[in-house]
Amino acid sequence: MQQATSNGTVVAAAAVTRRYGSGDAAVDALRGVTVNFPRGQFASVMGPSGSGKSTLLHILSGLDAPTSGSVTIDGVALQKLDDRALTLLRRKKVGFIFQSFNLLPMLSAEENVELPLTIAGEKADPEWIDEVMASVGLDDRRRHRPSELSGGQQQRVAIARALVSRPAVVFADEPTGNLDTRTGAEILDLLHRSVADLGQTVVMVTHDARAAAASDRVVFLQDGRVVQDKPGMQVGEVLDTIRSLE
Amino acid sequence: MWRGMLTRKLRSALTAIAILLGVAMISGTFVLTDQITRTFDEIFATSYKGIDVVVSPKQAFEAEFSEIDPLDESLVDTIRNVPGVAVASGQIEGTGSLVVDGEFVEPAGGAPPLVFSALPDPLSPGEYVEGHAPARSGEVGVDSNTADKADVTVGQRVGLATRTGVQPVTVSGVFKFGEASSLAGATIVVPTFADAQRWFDREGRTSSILVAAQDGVSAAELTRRVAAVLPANAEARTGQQSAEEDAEEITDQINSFLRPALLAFAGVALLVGAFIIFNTFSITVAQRLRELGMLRTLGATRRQVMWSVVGEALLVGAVASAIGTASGLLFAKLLLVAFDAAGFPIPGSGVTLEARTVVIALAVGIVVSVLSALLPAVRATRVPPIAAIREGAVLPRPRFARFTPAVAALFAAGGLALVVQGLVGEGDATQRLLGMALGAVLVFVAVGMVARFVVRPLARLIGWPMERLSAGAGRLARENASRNPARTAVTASALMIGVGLVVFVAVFADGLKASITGAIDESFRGDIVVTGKNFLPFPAGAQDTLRSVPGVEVASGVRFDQARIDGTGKKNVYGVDPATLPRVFGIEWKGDGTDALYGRLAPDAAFVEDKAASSRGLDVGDAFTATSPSGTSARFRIIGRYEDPTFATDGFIVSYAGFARVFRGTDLGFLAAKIADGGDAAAVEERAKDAVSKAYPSTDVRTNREYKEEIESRIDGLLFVLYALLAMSVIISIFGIVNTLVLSITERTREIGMLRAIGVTRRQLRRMVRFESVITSVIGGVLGLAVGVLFAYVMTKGLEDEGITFSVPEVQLGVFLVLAVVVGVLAAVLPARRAARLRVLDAIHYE
Repeated sequence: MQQATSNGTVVAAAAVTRRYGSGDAAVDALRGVTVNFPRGQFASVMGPSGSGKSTLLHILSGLDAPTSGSVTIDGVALQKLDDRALTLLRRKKVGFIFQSFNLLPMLSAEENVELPLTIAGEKADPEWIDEVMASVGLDDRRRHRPSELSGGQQQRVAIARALVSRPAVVFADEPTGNLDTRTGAEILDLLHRSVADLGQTVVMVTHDARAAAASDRVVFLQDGRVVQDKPGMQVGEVLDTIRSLE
Repeated sequence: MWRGMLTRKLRSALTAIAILLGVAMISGTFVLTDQITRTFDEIFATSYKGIDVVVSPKQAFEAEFSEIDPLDESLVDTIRNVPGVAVASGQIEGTGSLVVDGEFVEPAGGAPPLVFSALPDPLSPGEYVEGHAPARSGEVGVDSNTADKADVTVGQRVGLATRTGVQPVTVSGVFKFGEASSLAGATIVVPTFADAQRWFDREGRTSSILVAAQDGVSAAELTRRVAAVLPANAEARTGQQSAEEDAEEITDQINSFLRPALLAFAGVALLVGAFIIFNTFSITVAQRLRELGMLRTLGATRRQVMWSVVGEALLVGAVASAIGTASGLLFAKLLLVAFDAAGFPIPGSGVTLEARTVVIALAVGIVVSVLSALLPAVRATRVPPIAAIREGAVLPRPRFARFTPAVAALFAAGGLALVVQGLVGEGDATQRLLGMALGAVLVFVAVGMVARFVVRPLARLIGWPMERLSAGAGRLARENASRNPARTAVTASALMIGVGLVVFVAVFADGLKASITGAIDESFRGDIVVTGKNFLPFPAGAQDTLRSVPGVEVASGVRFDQARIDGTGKKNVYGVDPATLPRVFGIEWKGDGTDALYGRLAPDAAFVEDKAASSRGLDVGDAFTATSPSGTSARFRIIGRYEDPTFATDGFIVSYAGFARVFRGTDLGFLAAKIADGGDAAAVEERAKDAVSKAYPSTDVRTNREYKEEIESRIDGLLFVLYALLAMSVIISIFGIVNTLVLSITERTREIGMLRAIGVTRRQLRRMVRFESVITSVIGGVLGLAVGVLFAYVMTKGLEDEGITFSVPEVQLGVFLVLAVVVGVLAAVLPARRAARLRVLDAIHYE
């Protein structure tokens, strides 16, 4: 299912710029970002507000189009795709985890997890669903509705939902932003394990130094440019870097 | 924020439409009926313009189609000699019309074909625009509308259908009928007085005497003088009085039937609108929890919070009612077109909006809007200030929510009881009808209250084929439809009302048709049926004409009139030929009666119909006195009892000889013939049609099958009008569905963003919205089907005595369900487009 590119890169951005508005009111959110994410990596993107980290995530995941430059996901160049093709690409190759969980309130935990398959008109393989539910630790909550789950549990459902279609990459937008520290740590651990156990690729945007430190690699953005890109950072190191940028 | 404003504007517009259309129907009804009554006022004012005194036969009571005994012609001379009389003239009134190239010139719709003999100036209302008034025998004047329609010109030789057959006449002139803009579809032909006397069996007689006063003599004074010389069987009124009374007769019918009937449909539309307003405000109050909570934290009182909701309803209601009132002019026009298309043209021109119309329409619209929003407004006051800060706060459940099913059951039971009471109970007809209407409203409200309990199972059922078609969109649509069962239920209930009434009408009409055609099959022993056009009475000569057609074995006609029985009430009297009637028409005898009783139907004998028998306490062996509207009485003894709820209903059958003891008229209401065995039936039918319609063109000659088809097509024509009126309610409920969908989509913007992000295509999203819409509309359709069939069942059971049976037109009901699907698809167009247009990123970050 996953086509490996020559260098094992799953997501690649080349000279990506993004300008909002035009004329004097124009704002450059990204000013030429080139970054690659190889398969099986848990990467985070950090930066102060306005640095363009969210914009980068949107563009990398095919939710927004760059003003110039190119993005490929799993070998597919996004700029040539129309809305429908882009949607189908997201459906097949991209998983999403949002800060506010974004579960459907009328579906059970399991049904939420199966949602991407339901949308694609595919039959869920029960063993795979069992595995995913077990891996996020929600085996005993399958029939519960989101309103009956805690925030941490809801985010676990969201993670399972992102993993269920075996995407090429999972994008996580502040996944711990709405959670307390301990629950947040559990979620990060879970993301980490999905990379380790399932060979997933995860790209996470965060402003939480602890979250970033939990990842394999931290990409720092400032004013729409990559200013630092470093593997295996500790919390203190991340905090120092942030302070130096602000 | 910007999107919020837009949604609000759209929501206000959609809510406004819910009330606007109902108000337009109210206003349009008044505009239309005002227009009709004004037209008749004009017509009659013109008719009596030059007339100061009208002398006519005294009538003991009003009876439909009754022939009043005419006055003696000699009375004209008596009146001429009254001091102060300038001109006095007799006038013959009859029914008949021109026959051009063998074709009877028919009036439009239900209007009558009139013949009035010519009057001298200044009595004549007609102003001749071509040629002149009839001066010699064989000349006739024709009104300009009829002349145009029949394409006849001055000097043309045509026929005039009269009581004595078709008379050859020459058109001597074409007249305009004063200032009256229309004759309401009627045709008027004017022969000379002497011709009319001969042709309408009035030799030596006159239908009325019209008088003009000399200068200086007032109409009132002259009327008193004339009255003094009149015999006991005549009375005098001023021309103005006559005009007013004649107009009033028609105005009363419009005010007591057409107007309330149309207003009832407006009421239905408003009820649907009320459901929608209630739903819209319930949804917006639920969505505005945080805002309302914040208002409370800022110190707003409950009363202020309530007014913020009621105020919006007031504003929307006022604007919608104002537009609706003005739109009434347009609705009146639409009604004219609809009635015309259905074969019931409505006369009149020159529409105006009376002050009374504006006041009523505005008041009703605003009151309904505010009342509908009252419950949500009260709920809004129960929002606690904490809602401002708490994410996902929900509205407290209404205190009395747990009683809802009990209250609904009470409403439903009470509603059905009112309907039944209205059907079989005693008392004032208007009050019983109002009771039935209230009963129906209660049932609709009751179903609307508990409908949320069936939303989930119905959604599952209706969603099943959709999930087969598209698993994702189908599944989500079903879940979306059932996540707020109350919301879906009320939205569907609005549609239920329209569908329910359409179904009721369809089922009821089906039973009506079945019972009438069944009765025809049972009672008609002949092969050919003759009736007057528009079911008016027709000359008795048609009977002899039909009898003389070779191959016709027997023909027998029935005379019809109405009489007071023992000095009170009004019952039907049928005059028959006892020797021939049983061979063409069968009645169902009660007791040990048989057709042999016809042999004993002497001039003083009568059969009594079951309904008349029980309502008047008369039975075989009793005697009664029948009195005609002209005051002639005769006594009859009852020798037989029968039941016939369809044709010879609620009255008495007597012989021709017995009929003549009370009534002067010989016209027939109905004539049937049997074709001799062994002949070529089709050829005989053809000959019978030719012979009768040639001699009496004001008749329709049909085979039994054609007669049945005619009855059915008349019912269908009426159905068309009813469906058209109910369509308004269905249209309003479409807007209700649109409104609910738009509000729900706004509420679910973030969800939609998420769905798009994880791979839902625009097409799937549109489909999802469309499916949700169809699930809602089909729930409404199914509820409507259930309620409609229930109403029809109760109604037909209640009217069993009238011979109406319960019969379900399955195919038609299937069509209605398909239409419910179409309604859903239509309602989804705009919301689906809005949902699909949402930009993913905006949607995900929507607050």
